[in-house]
Amino acid sequence: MLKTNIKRYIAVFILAGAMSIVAAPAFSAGTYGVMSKEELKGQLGSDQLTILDVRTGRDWNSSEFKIQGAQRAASGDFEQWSAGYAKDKTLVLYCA
Amino acid sequence: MNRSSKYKPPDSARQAFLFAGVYALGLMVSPDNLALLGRFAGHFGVYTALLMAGVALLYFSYIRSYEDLYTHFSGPADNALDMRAIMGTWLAYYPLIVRTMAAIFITTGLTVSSGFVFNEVFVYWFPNFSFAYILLALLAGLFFLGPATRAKAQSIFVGTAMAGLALLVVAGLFKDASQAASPMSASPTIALPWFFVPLLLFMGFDIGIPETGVSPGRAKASLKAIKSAIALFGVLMVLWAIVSAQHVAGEKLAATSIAHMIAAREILGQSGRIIMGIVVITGTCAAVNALFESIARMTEAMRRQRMLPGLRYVPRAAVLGVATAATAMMAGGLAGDEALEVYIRAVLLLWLGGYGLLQVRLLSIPPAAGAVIPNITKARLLTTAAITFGGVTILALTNGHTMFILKIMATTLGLALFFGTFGKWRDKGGHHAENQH
Repeated sequence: MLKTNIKRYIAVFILAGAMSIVAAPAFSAGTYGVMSKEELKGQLGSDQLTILDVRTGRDWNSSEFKIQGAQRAASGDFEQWSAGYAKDKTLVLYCA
Repeated sequence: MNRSSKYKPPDSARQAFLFAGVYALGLMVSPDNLALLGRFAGHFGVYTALLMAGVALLYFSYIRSYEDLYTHFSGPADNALDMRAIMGTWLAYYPLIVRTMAAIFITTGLTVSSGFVFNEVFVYWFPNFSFAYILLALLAGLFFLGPATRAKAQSIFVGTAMAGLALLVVAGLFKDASQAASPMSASPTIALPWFFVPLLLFMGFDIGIPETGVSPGRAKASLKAIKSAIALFGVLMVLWAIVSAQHVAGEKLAATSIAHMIAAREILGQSGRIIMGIVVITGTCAAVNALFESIARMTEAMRRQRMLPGLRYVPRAAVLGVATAATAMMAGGLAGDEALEVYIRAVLLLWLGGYGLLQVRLLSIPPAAGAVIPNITKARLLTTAAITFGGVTILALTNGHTMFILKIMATTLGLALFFGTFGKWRDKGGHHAENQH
């Protein structure tokens, strides 16, 4: 009985993990454009581009991968800090 | 094979020694500690060794206090470490509440961090949170395989993490240093809190202390094992700190949240990242397994001491509750919230404060009927308590989230006092553990 319960328990977690793999694309950018990594790579170093790292907490602390030159910004305060950037510049927000 | 999750004391002194050592090291080898150590080394360079040595002495004083406890309360083995006797009735539930909160928040943070490492070092297409959920499920499942299996697994986790670090240390020592391991030159002063940060690096040693079911003699053997573990860990950490400072600029180390990964990469390139990735994941397993074990043993001890409901499945339910809470926190996005780091810092400070409370408690307990506490012991206890509480205060007040931390600490103390009051009311007229010697 205990073995069965443990198997069920582990199955639930694996299912949750599998669902997160499938569901992840559904949460990609909706109303704003999405730039591919190849497009971004081609524009790195451009004056017209500002890259903003909007990761917080462990998402940022634990990651080794940070784009050089990216500035940190809080996604929740977009209205506040976005006004400080020229409207003709491209802002790229990345979180993964 | 014993598949019961009920705590079973080690069969021999050798087992007790090993058991205590590997669980004491559980939290110490966590990746959070490595990251903190790296930043610390970035500030202090070669002087890291001096400060770590000082803190190790402080922890030896904590262990000495536990030895004194066994001397004071050398009654039946089951009552060897009654929480009401150690902390007093009012704060008897304090250790369990703090440890439970620590288990939930630290487990959440560490499993998520491991997920990132797995994704970025090993399998880039595997979602980091999926790995975190799976790892947590596996560690929770490990718990149900019984204490002997858990202890063997803990030995593997701790052994692998420390072996990986040792390998990087040796590689770092043999590679030409690109930096001088000297104090950071970017700023002329080091902020005061950094002098107290090492207090957090040896935390969790008390997970190795058996709460119940062993003789005082066997318990003292466990404490010797823990001292050895602290010494071994301390030496390894100092060497790692020096090697890190020799290969990465102090300013960079001090400012980054992944000092350990950067240092490993500088020392051995991609191989270094892989080794450190293994260290991070096994370190996470060691820390989480130790926290689960700690919750189980403490609830079992308190259940036997009639401080918790007498149902046999209480320890298993407690661990399952912690794992479920951590899962819920991950699902709720707490890992991506700065608040998690504040919660973790708060519970670590509460845990550290518990060590200080132990010193104060010992000052109030006469060693034997009619005897007095020797002056040298009083001096040791007072000094230890002062440094501990001083460190807790400074780290709480200089955190940047002081009010939040103080609220968490006050709430925890309030909860502990609430349950302590309930316990005192229930015990009135019945069993009084404080009077047992």
